[in-house]
Amino acid sequence: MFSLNQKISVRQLQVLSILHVFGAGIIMLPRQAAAYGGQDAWIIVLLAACAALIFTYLMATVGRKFPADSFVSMTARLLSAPVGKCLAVLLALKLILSCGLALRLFSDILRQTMMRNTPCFVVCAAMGAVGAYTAAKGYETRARMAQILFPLILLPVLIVFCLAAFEADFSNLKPVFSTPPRDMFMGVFRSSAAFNGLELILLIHPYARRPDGVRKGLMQAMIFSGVLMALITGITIARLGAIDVTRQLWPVLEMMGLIDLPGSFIDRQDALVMSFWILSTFAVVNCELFFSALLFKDTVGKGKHAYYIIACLAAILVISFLPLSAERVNQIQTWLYSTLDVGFMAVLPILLLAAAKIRKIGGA
Amino acid sequence: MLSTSLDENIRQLEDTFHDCGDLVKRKIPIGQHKDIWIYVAYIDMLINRETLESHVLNPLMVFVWETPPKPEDLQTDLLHTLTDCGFTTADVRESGDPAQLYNAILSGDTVFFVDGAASAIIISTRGWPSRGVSATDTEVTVQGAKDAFTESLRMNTMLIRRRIKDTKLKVKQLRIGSRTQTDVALMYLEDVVRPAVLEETLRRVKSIDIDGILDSGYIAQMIAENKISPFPQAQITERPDKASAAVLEGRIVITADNSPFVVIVPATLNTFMQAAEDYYQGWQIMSFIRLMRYAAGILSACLPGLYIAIAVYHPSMIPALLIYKMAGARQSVPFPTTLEILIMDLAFELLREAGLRLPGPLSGAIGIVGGLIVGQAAVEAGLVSPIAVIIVALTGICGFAIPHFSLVSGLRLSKYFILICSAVLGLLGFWASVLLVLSHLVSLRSFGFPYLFPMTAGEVNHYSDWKDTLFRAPLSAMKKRPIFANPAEDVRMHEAKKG
Amino acid sequence: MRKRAFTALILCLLTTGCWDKVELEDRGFVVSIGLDKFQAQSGRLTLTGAEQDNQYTVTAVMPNGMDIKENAVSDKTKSVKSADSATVSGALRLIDMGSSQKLYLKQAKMLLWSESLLQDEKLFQQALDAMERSQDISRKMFLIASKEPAWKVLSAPLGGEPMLGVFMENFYKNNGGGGSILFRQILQKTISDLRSSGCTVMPVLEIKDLDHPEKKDASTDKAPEDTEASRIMLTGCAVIRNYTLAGYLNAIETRGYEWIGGHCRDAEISLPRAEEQWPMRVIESGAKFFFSEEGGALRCDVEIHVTGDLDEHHFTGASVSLDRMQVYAAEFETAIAGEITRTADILQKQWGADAYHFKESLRKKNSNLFQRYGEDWESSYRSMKIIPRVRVELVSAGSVR
Repeated sequence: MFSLNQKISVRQLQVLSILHVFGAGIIMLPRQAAAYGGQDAWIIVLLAACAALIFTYLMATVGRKFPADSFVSMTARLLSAPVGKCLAVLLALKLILSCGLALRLFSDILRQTMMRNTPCFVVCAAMGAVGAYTAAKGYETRARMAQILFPLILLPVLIVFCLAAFEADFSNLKPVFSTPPRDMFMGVFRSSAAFNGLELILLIHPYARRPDGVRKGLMQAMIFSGVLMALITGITIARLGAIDVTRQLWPVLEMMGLIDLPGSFIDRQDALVMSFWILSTFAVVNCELFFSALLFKDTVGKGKHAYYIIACLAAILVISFLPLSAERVNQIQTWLYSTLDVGFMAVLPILLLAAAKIRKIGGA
Repeated sequence: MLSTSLDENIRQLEDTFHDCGDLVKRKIPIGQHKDIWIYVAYIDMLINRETLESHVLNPLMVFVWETPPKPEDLQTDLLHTLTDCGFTTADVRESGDPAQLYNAILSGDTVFFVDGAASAIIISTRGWPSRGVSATDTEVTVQGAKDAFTESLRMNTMLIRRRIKDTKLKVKQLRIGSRTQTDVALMYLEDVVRPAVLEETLRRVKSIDIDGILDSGYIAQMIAENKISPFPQAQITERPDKASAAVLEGRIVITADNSPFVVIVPATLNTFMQAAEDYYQGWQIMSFIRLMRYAAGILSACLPGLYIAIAVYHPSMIPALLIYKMAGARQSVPFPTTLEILIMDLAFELLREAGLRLPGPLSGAIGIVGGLIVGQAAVEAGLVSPIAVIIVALTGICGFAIPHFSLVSGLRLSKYFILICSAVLGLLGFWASVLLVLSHLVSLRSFGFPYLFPMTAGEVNHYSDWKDTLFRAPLSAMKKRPIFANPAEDVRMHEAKKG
Repeated sequence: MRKRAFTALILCLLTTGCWDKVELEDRGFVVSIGLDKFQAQSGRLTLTGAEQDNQYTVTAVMPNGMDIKENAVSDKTKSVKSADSATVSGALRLIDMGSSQKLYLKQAKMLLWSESLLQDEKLFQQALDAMERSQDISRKMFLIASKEPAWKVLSAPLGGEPMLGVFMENFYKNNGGGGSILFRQILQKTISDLRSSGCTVMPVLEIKDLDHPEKKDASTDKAPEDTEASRIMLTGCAVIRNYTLAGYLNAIETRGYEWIGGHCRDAEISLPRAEEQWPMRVIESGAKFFFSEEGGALRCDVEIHVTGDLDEHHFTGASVSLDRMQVYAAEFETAIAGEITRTADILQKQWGADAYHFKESLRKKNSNLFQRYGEDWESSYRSMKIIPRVRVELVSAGSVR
């Protein structure tokens, strides 16, 4: 029952995926969506969630066919070993880059809002070290941490946004459906980047206790995440107005800071807001560290997972120390999404499914 | 093997027990013609002399001469022959192994060597002076039984037996400690305990290779899976009702001779938050108290660090009036906030330790001296600010609210870690240290069970363990045993019969 | 070797950490910030920057460090520091340099804008931008305008009252944000209003006998700072259009503006009729806009619903009956409609200031009309007919003589 086999339940998988998607996307998503859709940003987020749902279905279907295979072995079986290893290394590098940029962004926000004099490398190293420690403990530990952090991250956000809904002017969401289709499409494409943890679905099936329940579980998790993010986007725009949302780098954090907690004598809740941000970033960092190290380990075929984690952490920290502005980071993230993320989330699963069908390998 | 020559056996015994002034030995002639020699050996004060003299020696020396045993019977059936002489005690056995015999002497039994017999008789005459069942000092409750375990293993097993009159209640006895040969008993319900857990527990206990076990705390530490963790992985209790409740849940109680505390395994964080009287009063008030305990546990570890992170790094969260008062109070304090908290906390820890060591009447005085005089004097001297005293006092009180002191130790150490990280990096340091501690707790196991169960992996038991976690559901709703029990026997309450 | 390296790393971290550590007593908690257009003043002690082209005078009020414990919020022990600089942030830095404590802006409650700054479009916009960009300035900070220089208002002794920022915070907390001129304007709303419709309003604060604090009150013969009479009043609002001051609305005109905003709860409106006074206390008020076209111009029907209570009056003659209540209600409807029309005339015809944010409302509610009239909003707005339709419901009439 509780053997040390690193297998997790579908519920734990759902929690992990919600936290990763939420933590990676929610801070910048309303701004990205509002930049294209204005007051229709919440519709864009919903549509992006639908796209994410399709990607989830595709990737989970691939994983279902090879429940016991790692990503490397699965792609090797379908596309040949060298191609499999190349894809694994590419994905690992993508994760490292993405994690480094996320850490960089986190460090920028933290230093601008709370800790001006603390060096960037200290902030990044602290968060990286914590993420690495948890990642090194294994997948089961990560899953259990996620179960503990889930209410800690989501409950305050839900409470704050419920309060924000009372103060919001929902007429700011009007007129509805007034965005031109082209802008809507571009907005959906860009906003799907908020769901950029999804390609990891290709890696998780060997860790599931019931691989056949993974697809349904993850779809449910994506629906939950999508609806939640759309709600948050809608309330943010209702509260701040579309124009203000596009002008701020982190509108969700700004909005959380504006709320008056009822009956509370706390005037400014910056620290509460940053606590949520710290926990979200931890969820993202430890996930990407874990999987990037795992991919390298599977590719090389020997050595302890912990050593690869240390190596990946070093690479991530180097990336996070690069002198990049927030806009440049955003640009790189957008490029990353438009190329590698879309490739791994949409193109690769289709390719793998086609190869499985043609070569007639893989389970039901 | 023993020799048939009594003199030889006596010589061997005296060689083994040379310079043992507490060994009492006597050669006694028995039989009609006083021609059969026996040799009695025991350790003074370990035995109940009344049992020996009235129920063993008296029959041997007075009645046996009326029916003298035949020598050949002494050779072939020593036990029956001598017991037929009228022992009025039931716990009698025979052995020819010198090591076993010497061990029996050391354990408080009396050994009879008989001339011409290759084995000796061991009679259980244990009866050393002991405390007797008294009230518990460390786990006081308002409602519930007041008795506590004692240093006697048999007394302890008796206290649990009284509460669980079930033939499935097993008492598996072992001896561990190469020199102390401490008697240890594992008590469990055979059909309720998980066989894998029992097997693992036995394996770990048997694998203890140490010269002496002086307290059950040794066992708790030696069978822990993670020996570096400051968090306890086995529960220790002085209360028989708590131990009995654990046995009924499918857990295993390990009791050691000479220790008034028993070890209960497996143990999760949730079990440390449960007190005995949680089940003796209404679920409403107990749920509230349970929630307060969890809050107290979190505060006892996090409050000083959080205070430092907010006051020093992020004072925007503190309301304006309060912050002015705090800033004003700190005007004359020469130490930084971190040092102030550390000084007060260490002073509090010293007072706590001093209170433990002082004799009973004086320990209350320490509370008055520490709290009123030292704290007040420090504030008036401008060494610390009042808020620091309040923070430290509140942290200490929160620690006292947790029923199991072994968990408090873990939280106390975590508190310093969180405090130092918060002092260095503010809120980032606070959360980083909390996440590290959480990661450690999440990865900890106790005999295969996740330490934070059911907060993590609760779905394994269909979340039924949540009924006894942050709150306590009504007893009528707690029909299933916790996760520790064998799934085949996990129902403890059936629907009430109608009509 | 690894353990030693790890230990050394931890020690380095611990000994070189605490980069952002500032003890509480080392922080100067700014309560209010005043912004003025720089004017060379004599007799006023200020920190002057090295640049010769000073544009701003920034004033910061904070509790006096030494008295903070006993009289933290009292006005008598405040410390007021001013600095002149080319930029707002430069001036704040100068104030920081002139203080033994590290200036802490995150607890600041109030931003006081002087008339001189509000009249300068460029400086006002720049200052607002500085406030918006600053991570220390809370967007919940409330904005107040003043006809007098901000440094003078913030320096004025207020007697037994707390410091001005704390005073205003308590004032808004206890007055619930209703009652005509009691509306609270926060920084975030100001920025948002100016960006969306180019117009915003700010409450105006006045301090009685500002220039003559030594003048004694005739009835009590006490100096203003010793008297218990209130010297601090909100007397109307300042209307800002396109980042420049358009003008002031007095208290009644502000109420005319607030009817449409729906913020007149607890307001007191009193009508003199013959020898009687008819006072009504507003329990609830709400407004809805409806846009339409009429004669090639926009028309906005504003429906105002007011629930009120005649809570003190002296009526002669017959007792207050239902019919009579309806007469009173009709009179109040006329009065309220009149207030709205007067204010609308000032805002619309005189200043062209869309303080009601009709443009935004039109965009949200009627995109067809917005497409036709939104492009040249200024002339559309000026020619728009604003028709108030007021409905007053009196719920009770109290006792009758």
